[in-house]
Amino acid sequence: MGWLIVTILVPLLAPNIALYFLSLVPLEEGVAEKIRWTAPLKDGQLCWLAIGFSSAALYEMGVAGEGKLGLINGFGGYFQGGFILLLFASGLLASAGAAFPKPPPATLGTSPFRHYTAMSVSFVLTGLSATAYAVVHFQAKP
Amino acid sequence: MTTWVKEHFSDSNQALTTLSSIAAVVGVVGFVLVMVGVFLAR
Repeated sequence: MGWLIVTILVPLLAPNIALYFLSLVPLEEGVAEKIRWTAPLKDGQLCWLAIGFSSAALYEMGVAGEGKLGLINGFGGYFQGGFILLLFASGLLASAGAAFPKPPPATLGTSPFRHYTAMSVSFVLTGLSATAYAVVHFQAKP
Repeated sequence: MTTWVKEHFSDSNQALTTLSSIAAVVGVVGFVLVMVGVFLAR
């Protein structure tokens, strides 16, 4: 449980926890309105986390565990291939979000998940990477 | 190929949607691969 909180939950929630504290500071007019929960995530920034999860899983299988790959009964190639694809997908979306940032919606009431495509996909990719990383961590436990 | 690129990368909004779709498909395939590994390793 401790591993899940420290490795998965804290990095996921940290940007918005920090944003909450920022909202307590008296900021100039116009800036305060821009501070929404979507601000640190809207262009797929969560994918950096997915990259971290995938890299950590590859490291854990290949180096840190020294033989953990063997512990998954010789099918480590599937795990490695899967994590490399997740890594590639997350990297692609993170760079695409940086290259094509989306402005906030013009009208109020627009669903942020519908408006910010990169953010919605980054949620999915991060969820998949986190689940796969947790599976490897507990599956490959010596 | 060139027509496809022109069609799907004509403006930044379209490019982001295209790249997001590609990333989503590749990511799901990667996750499925990991899960297949889990299934086979049991």
